[in-house]
Amino acid sequence: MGQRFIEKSYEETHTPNIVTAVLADYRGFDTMFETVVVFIAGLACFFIVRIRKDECIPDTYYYRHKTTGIVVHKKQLCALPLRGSAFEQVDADWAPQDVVITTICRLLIPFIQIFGLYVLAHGHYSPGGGFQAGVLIAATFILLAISHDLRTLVTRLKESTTHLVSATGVLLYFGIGVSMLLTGHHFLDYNGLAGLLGMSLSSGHSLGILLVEVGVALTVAASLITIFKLLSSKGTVTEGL
Amino acid sequence: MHAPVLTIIPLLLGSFLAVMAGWTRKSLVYPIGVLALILSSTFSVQLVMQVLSEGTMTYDLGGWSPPWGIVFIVDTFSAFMIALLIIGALATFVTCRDEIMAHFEEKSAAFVSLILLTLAGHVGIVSTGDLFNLYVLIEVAALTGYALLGLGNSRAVLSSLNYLCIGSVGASLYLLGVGYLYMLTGSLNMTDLTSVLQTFPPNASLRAAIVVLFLGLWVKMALFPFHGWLPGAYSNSSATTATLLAPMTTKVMAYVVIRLLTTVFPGGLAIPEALPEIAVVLATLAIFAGSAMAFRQTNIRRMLAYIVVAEVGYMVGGAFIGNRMAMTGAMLHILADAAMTLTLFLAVCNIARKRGSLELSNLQGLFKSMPFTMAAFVLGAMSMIGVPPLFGFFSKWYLLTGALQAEQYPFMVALIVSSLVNVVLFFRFFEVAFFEKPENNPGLLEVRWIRVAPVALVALLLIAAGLSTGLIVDKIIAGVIPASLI
Amino acid sequence: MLDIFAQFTAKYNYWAYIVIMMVGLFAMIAKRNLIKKMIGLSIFQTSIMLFYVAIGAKKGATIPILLSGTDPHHIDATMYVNPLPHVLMLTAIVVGVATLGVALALILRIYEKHGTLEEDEIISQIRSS
Repeated sequence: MGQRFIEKSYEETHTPNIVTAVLADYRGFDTMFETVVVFIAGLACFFIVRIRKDECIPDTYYYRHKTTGIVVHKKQLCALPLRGSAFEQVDADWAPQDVVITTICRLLIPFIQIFGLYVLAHGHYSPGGGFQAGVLIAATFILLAISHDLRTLVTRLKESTTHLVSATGVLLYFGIGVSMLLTGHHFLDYNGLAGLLGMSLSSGHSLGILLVEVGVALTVAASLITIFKLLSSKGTVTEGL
Repeated sequence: MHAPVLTIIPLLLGSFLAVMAGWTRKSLVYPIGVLALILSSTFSVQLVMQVLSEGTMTYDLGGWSPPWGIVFIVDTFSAFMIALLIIGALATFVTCRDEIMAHFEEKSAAFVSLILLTLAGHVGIVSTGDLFNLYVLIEVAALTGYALLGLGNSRAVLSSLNYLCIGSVGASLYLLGVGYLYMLTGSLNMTDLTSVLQTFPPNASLRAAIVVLFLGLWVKMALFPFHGWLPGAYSNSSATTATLLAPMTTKVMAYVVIRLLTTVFPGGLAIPEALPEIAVVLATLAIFAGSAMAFRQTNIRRMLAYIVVAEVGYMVGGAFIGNRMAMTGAMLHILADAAMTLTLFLAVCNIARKRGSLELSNLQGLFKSMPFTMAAFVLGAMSMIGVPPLFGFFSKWYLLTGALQAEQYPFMVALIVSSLVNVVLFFRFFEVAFFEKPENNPGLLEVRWIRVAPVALVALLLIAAGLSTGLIVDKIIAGVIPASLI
Repeated sequence: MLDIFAQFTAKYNYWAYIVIMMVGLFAMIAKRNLIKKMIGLSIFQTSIMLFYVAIGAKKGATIPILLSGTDPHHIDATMYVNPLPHVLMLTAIVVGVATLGVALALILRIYEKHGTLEEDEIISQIRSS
């Protein structure tokens, strides 16, 4: 079976990377369920760990005056709403991050993201693909959270966004499969894509592989960010201002 | 033509849309779930009709013919089982609506989504014809199970973690077995594997592969002595989750074992001779151990969980005894047990909502306050005990006859003893619920008719299926067992 | 004696994966800290991945990405490693990571509840409650 994959995959799918061709085309149904597994992991962490948003957790809350840097701590029942106030809520172990770390990470993150997109797009030609790209992109966001603090990440990437993106990614993969059904082919048969867009069969397969890899990358990135946010904030994912 | 895959598609679509709805428009979550389940049930009934008239259906996923691609193979028994699983999940979903939506909105969406994905995973396990795809689907079903079982009473999380450790080891052992088989034969497809193995010389690696493969499956289906995770997981979790998972997980894994024994390794092809004997011994021990431990429980759900452990013994023993009667009995028992467990757990779900605690001391006078639910529970219990004309009696009868033919006397004794133990267990509960006077609390929460109707319907199904057992055996089961098995 | 040794070293990759698998299983069973048990599970699953990839190896072959300039109609299968085990293990790695994620979420809840990650302390807390 391996021999047939090596010999025929370029003719049929126009993809030099045989592993990607087998993963996303010949055994694409497996990969769809693998993406669903990643989606389930994010969903499961949310289901197990997440605490209700407006639940009042009696705790000591720390507020830092933005201009002078004085930190006030109050032992009270609920966190105060602080829209537009001069104070910002900080975590108990907040420490002013080293300027070197924050600046360098902020400079590097876009480049790592571009590299992630490169890995996604070049999954056909070099080792790479959706899963690897998704992990790289998730790593950039986690780097933002680690180098600054979790609140910075949460203000930039809301919880609902990550969940919706994760569902969108796996819905894209599934949607391609279903649209092949609607054009009369079997589920996840990329010949339908070739027919729909008027390409040759092997180009259709190549495009199909790229599209499903995009879906996979979206889901993997979003789910990993969700898991990180939930586990590192112990379920609160404190939304900022 | 697309029927085998159409049963899974609404479930997947429903789960993704439910998550999206949970974050945008929360009122749509429950309707999406119900709609997905209803669509899926319709497709599954259509699939049963089609398979009964046309014979076994195969479906090439991705358009690639096997063994290059993944294939779904649905025969009469799988189609029937798929329909039963989906309709059972629909019954649970409708009955336990209040418990599902009692969480806060985004979490309810996650709950609905996980339920649909669990069901999709289990339906996929029954349909698939590729060994590695089976592993991925086992993990889908398992992961959703770990998440769902994590919510419940104070010990739920620890029980779920226990299940996670044991279940992951089991799935990894299965994967190892598949790896050895691929290494030896070069194929992952079930039908292809059978044809390669026909002319394969006996080989120590092949024997090791089969042993490890079956060991992994036995761990996942909680066969004694790997059953440690099951009672804790099903009794500490929320009632909804137990009702959903108890009729599904162990039965589907037993189905996989039977599928492997009838289609992939027919007539004992490549199976080491000691394996069926060990399996029957373990099955007998499972029945004894499950019944004995159920005896000591005072919590209804814990008692039912131990009874499930014993039922696994029935199925595995029947599958490995090796004659036609016993295999028919095992297959009938999968169907019967799914229906019986569903009835009992659904009734317990209603009881829990009404009374709060499930300790025996708290359940006095139930017959008076919940007549229909308790009637359904009585039917389920009678079926478990093996009273004709309920479904459970016929499956036990086939198993007993098969064991007698193969002279497996310990297994026969275990079957009879467990029926007697079930009598004692259930009548102990009936005595508390019937003869004692109800206490003066009016009941915790009301149980409306929409919660009682599914349980009553499933209980009536037990009677209907029992009366038509001959039809089921002839049309659905007889064709699936290879003719070489006498 | 020497040929037993030769047989042993010829199949060293299989011995390696068995040793790693047993290490993982031992960690899962014997260690008391829950995180160490999870690491044991990861090691156990990794050993199986090593086994699969080892099956697909070919002597003198390169990774299964077609070298530039090969004629698509005359590809020599012996030049490339078998791609199928790699594909299967990509899936298995992802499944392992997902399981680890769910396990960590469960462990977080256990820690919030019991304040400790040692298994014996948790069991004694449950027994006494």
